[in-house]
Amino acid sequence: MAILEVKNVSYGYSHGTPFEITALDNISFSVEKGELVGIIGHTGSGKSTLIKMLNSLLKPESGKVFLHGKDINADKASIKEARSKVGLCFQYPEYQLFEETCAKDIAFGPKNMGLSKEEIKDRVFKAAEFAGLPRELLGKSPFDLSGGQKRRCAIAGVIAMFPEILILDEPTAGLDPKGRKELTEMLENYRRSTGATVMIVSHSMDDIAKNADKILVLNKGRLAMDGAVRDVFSNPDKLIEMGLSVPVSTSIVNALRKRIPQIPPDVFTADDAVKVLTDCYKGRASE
Amino acid sequence: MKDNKLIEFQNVSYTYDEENEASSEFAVSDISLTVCKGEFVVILGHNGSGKSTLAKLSNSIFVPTSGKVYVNGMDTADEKNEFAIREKVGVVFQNPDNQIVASIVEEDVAFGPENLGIAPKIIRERVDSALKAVGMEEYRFHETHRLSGGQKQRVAIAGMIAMLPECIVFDEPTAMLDPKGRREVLETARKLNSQDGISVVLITHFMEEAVFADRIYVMDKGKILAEGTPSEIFSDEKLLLSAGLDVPEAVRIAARLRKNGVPLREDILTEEDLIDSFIEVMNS
Repeated sequence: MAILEVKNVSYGYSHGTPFEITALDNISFSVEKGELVGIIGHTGSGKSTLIKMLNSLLKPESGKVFLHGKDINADKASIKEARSKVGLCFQYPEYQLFEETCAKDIAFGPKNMGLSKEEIKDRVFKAAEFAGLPRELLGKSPFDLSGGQKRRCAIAGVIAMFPEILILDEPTAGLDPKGRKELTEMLENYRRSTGATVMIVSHSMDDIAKNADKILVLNKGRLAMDGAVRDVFSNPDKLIEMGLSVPVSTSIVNALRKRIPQIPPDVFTADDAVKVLTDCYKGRASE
Repeated sequence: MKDNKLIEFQNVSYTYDEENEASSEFAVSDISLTVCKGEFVVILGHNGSGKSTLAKLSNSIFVPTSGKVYVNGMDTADEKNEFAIREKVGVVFQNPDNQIVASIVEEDVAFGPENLGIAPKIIRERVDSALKAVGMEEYRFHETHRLSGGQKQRVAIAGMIAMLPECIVFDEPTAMLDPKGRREVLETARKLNSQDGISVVLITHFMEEAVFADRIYVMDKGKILAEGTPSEIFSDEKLLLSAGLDVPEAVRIAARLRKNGVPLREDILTEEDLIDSFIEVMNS
């Protein structure tokens, strides 16, 4: 059974005003345990509204969200369960740091879950380790950290709840290439070692193409595509029309295929691009 | 050549902790660089490398702890130059929401010239042409808070243009935008440079935004690590990686193909370069 199921969910803002807007329009999809799901879509496509539905920060106006087959909005207990099992990390989470020390900030979630002191301490250490935050920083004020360290501290605060589904809204925004790479590896490591499901909202098509098992494409509040990397990025025209793009390697190979038809389609990563173009060149040399 | 210099940094250091100047860390240290009239200069650097400090030093928001910054020959540390300098050099920051002051697009763009005490008729002309320059003239009566991120950034840029600056410093202007917004803002920056002759300093850590530069400075730990043309800088992947950066995806793919024996041109920077060169190779 799917760990998360979204069925016919709709939601709108500013009802009864001239600015009424349908943020989500009849969205349905499901996510399996352990999957890495990429969510892409232009600004205002409904991505942030959607992820807020997934742990009941917003409630669907129609439709339902199921976690392990149970409606997360059925009663208070279900909502509480969803909040502890589905960890949500907003964009620029470092602006939400508030405690005196990093350790206290990371402990905030587990504390609210009513865990024992020892368990909380253990979780703080583990979460900091996953997030790549050095232990000696735990006693420091989060406001004395660098931007990248703050981001790690904030993400550790969500990981400390040991969510079964970890959802992050543009976790690499504003980070430099090294920071982006490290954070992506950190999330992959968390997923592998805990078996958790990870859902990432991203504007980087290259990162999504490299890592995701499945991609959800939102366009003007509708789910425009739902499929594997191949299914989604083999429609470059459709994506560009939606204000998105394809990975650089895909766009290079697609352009070359128009001139050199023997190049195979469906290239989504640099590794694949190097392989097919090398083969193509060697094939010509041996003719 | 001397008259051509618009911004000049001479051995500039800056610390946020002026009380303990001797013992404190410098956000930028001993930096010398120049931006000439009409140039498109990119500054690359990892988080915390001192890029944003550099932006704020360029129009007298910060003044150097030691060393000098000159804008058109004017010392930024001299208070009486402050306003003249800010008219010459405008800064566009990362977060579009922090830079909009008015609720209607054209009022926001008019804010700067109004503060200069310019006649309303001239403000009208400047606002119209600034909005046109960034492709936002259709939105002039729209509410600013309902614009997309890319549109807000273009309004912020129009606000600069209405001041008739000679140089715009963009401090990671696309970091918070989606691919479409990123394209819009970059195209605007390039157009202002190539058509309107405004000097551009683009601070970024998206490598692919740097390939259009006349010159690139690479920063690391508050110092300038390298300076050169895009082809020079991006041919040294090791240096960039050591500075927490990377090369553009097309450059990386090209390098790996050359390693596999595909005789591609050496000066590939963009997707188009790679495509053209590969077709040449296949046809030869």
